[in-house]
Amino acid sequence: MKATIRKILAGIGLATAAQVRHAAAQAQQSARKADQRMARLRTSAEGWKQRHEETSKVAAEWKHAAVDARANVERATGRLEQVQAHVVEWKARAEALATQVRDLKERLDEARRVTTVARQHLMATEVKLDLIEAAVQVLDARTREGALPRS
Amino acid sequence: MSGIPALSIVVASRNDDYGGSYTDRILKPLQFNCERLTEHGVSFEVILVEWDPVPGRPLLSELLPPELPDMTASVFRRIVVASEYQAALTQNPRVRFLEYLAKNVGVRRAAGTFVLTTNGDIMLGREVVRALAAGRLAPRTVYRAPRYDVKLGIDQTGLNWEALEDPANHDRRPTLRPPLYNGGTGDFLLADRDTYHWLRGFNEVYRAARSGIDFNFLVKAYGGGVAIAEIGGPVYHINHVGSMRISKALYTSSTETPWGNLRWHSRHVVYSNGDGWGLSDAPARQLADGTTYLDFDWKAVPPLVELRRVVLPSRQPEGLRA
Repeated sequence: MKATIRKILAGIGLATAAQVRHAAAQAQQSARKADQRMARLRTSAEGWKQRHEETSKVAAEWKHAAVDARANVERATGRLEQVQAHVVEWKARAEALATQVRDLKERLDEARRVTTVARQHLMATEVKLDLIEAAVQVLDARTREGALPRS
Repeated sequence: MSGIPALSIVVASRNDDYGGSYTDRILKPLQFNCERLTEHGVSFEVILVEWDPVPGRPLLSELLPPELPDMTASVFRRIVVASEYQAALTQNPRVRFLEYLAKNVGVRRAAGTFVLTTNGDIMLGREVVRALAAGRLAPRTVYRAPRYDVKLGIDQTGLNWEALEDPANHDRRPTLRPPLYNGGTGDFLLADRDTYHWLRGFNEVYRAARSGIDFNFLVKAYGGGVAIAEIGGPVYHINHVGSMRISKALYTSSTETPWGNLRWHSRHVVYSNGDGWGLSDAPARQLADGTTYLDFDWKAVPPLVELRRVVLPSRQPEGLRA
């Protein structure tokens, strides 16, 4: 009987009180769920917003760092060129000094050789002087022996 | 002896009691050496050059032969050099014995394939005699041997190699070092006769000193490209009072010694002896006992000074101090 009544009411677009209560309860539940989802979405949105802000901040920092790095690279490049110029200059100086050292060594060797030869000749001369002095002494002695009449 | 001896031993001396009586100083070492060489089959002659004999004293040439009856006059050759040569050749009256000129007299007249200039008081070591006996000596090489000094006053009676080799009997055992292997040089200089003649013996140009002439010979040999080598063993010398090694410290001046100037430039300046080196132009006559006597003749005497004969060696040993 109840089912027939419900069919008749449904046919004219009406519902029973129980059906209305049930539908109202469902609507309230759906509204609560929607609120909860809304709240979660709001929270999530805030989280994403915060992350976005942080990421933006980091990106800004990196950007700044990149700018600094580029400036550093530019400075370093400038300095490298200076250093390279110095290197070329010092290399040229070192080569000049090495040449000078070689020349000096050759001159020193030559001086040493000449000194050795000179020393040898000096020694030969000393020997000759020894001989001359010895001969003079011998001749002097012989002359003295013959100079005076023997008694 | 017949034929050419393998070895001529040249010693120069005089009967002046230098270093003790001639018996100990010359006779015993001479006997020792001759016995060892004979035992090992080395043919040899000994040439004793008696330089400037001491007036009023018997000649060693007379005293020694009776003590060596087994040695004929051709094996034990005696050459007496007239005293006038010392007087005519001297450049320094302090140097009473021109030892190396005397040795040159022997070298010039030596007949052996090899010539050893040494001193009368030197005894040949075992390895030296073995090397001579083995005939493994090379030409154009000056051989050297270190001189081991045997204790002063050791009894020479029956002295043999075992006693000589005993380190307990040694005062000094030097080590010779290249390139010249100098040290006690005058006690052992062995080379083939041709090399000695090519070098024209010891320095006869600088006669103002007796010391350093032996070293000077090595410098000349080295400069001339002659090899210098150690023979492989020592010779022995009985220490005696008056030897240069022991006595030179007694002299305060390096010039007023019986060996002349000890500091002349013997390590750097050499010589070119004249053709008549070794008194080759001295007139010689044979005495009745077989001794050769070199009479004096000015023709045999080189000029008092010949500066052109003072020369520099064509190569100098490294590291010799001036």
